[in-house]
Amino acid sequence: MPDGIYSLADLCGLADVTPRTVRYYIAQGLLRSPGTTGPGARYDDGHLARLRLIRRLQREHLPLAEIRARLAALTDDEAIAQAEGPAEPPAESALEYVRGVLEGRALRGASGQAQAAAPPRMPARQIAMPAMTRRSFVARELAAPLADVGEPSAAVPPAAAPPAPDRSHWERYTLAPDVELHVRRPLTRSQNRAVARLVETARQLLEEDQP
Amino acid sequence: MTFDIRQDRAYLRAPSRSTRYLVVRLAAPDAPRRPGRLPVNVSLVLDRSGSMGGPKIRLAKEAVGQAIATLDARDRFSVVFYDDTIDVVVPSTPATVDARAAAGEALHRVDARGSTNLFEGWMRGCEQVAGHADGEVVSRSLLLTDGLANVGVTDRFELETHAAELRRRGVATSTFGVGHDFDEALLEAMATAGGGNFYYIQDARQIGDFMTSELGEALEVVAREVRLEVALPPGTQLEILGPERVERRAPEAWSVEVGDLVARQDREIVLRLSFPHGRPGDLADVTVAVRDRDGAFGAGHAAARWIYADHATNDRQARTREVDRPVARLFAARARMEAVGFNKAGDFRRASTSLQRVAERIRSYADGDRELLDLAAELEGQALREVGVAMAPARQKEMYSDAAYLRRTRTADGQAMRRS
Repeated sequence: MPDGIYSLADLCGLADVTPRTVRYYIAQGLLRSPGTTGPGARYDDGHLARLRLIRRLQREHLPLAEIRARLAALTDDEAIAQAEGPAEPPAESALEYVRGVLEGRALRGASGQAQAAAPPRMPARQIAMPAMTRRSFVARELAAPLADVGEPSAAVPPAAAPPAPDRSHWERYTLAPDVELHVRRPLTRSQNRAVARLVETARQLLEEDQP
Repeated sequence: MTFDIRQDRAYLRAPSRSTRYLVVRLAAPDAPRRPGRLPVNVSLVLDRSGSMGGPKIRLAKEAVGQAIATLDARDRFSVVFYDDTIDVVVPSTPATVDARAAAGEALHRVDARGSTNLFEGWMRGCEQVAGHADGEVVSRSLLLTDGLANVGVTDRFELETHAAELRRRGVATSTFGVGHDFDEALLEAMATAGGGNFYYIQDARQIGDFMTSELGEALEVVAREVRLEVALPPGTQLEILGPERVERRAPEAWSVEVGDLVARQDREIVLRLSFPHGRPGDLADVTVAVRDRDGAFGAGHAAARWIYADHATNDRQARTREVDRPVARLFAARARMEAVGFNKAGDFRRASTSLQRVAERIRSYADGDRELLDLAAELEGQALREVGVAMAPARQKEMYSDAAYLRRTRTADGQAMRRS
């Protein structure tokens, strides 16, 4: 593992996080301290991998305490392998996957009303979904005016017919160790966009409250 | 030589991080290594919602007949029509003469009605393919729609994720959008995640041509699951400017998933490398190997080398135009796709700005290069006259699909770029 190769700005650019987030994670024990502070502080691939792993685990709705425990058990090399390594080879065949998805939907449909009444955990299949690679380099390259162009068609008018109620499911977003947001999907595109902004804003606000 | 690499510049900045580009050009061989072609295993999944009524559904049915006529008994096919209910009109069958004739009969009974459960239609098609996807076969689900998914799963992220998961299990997805009312960003994203192709069919009379062309490509695949294996110096990061997926397999070893290539296909992949700082005189070596499931690209590799130097040397160094141009084209394509999204949303100012900023950036390094200056001027013209005002839906689709084709090194008709 090469020593200290990234400045704080480099690290933040590569991991797509703010310096405040990095400092917060160090204070929370999720990231190792770089040793020194100030402009001379240098970070390595282990820091980068851990930052990416934290984001992935957050997307999988794990609480921060659980993320901390998982990261503590990893060496830097293991963190790199987990954060950016290839996904595990699929355990199930294409046919098993399709049937699992189709049957999962049917089961959810059968108990749709009960689910609508009380937000349950997400179905296991969705928790297990791998993080998709977001190609945001143009936005980063060209800065502000393109900063939120991840979904070019976000403004397509919502579909004509409302989503069938028996297809709905709850998703859980962990905003901070003690704060969660539950969302019943599917939503319209404009609602999706609003929720994404809400999550982002809430995480920033909650983060600012940290020491 | 089945591939080569070109780097944009020779030097890296010793005192700071440097961004450099590397273009990998792949040239697929004329024929597979083994005798004969690979069998294909496809499902044709077609929208028969109310909006497909009239000539569209007739043309779509004719297209299916035309497409399956190109198959023979080595291959398998199935046909699924969907609205809010899903009909597996032809379950997966070997493409014998009898089976193709029987499919023709079954197609007569299909008519347009109902709403659009794209998700389940597509999944049922994938189910038909998945049952026979093991071994030496090209497995693909071809999804055609003219509207917005409005029943079942409609979330783009979820559809994209399923497409990616199926691709990992050997089933690719290609998508066809017909007319002016489909969601091009959704279909393009599904095809990208699914390792297949995306097509915009402006006129329903072209459905047959596009579907036959896609199936024709599947019949001519010579290299499956092509990937670049890239080894980088410590601390170097890799991003891909096109739609290819990238994975980091070890701290310094990365894999770029390119997908299947057909006979004589040319494909260009642009790597964006972010190097750490270093000492003047240090070397940074990058090696690229091309691997595929059929061994079409052999076992060779190519190497590029950068040298760390001070700012002055970096500022004076020459640029390789053969790299600058594809880099500029890919940034322009991405900006156009984004601009169409803003235009659809009615945000004409941002649509315009997104093209202008890329144009400015290209001008900043064009230094008299005619091709780069022309591209910048074209973007500026489009910023002013096209995306800066309300665009006709057909023009939005056209600009979006042109850009999507360019990002995959495909022709203006969406077909693989091939050596004659």
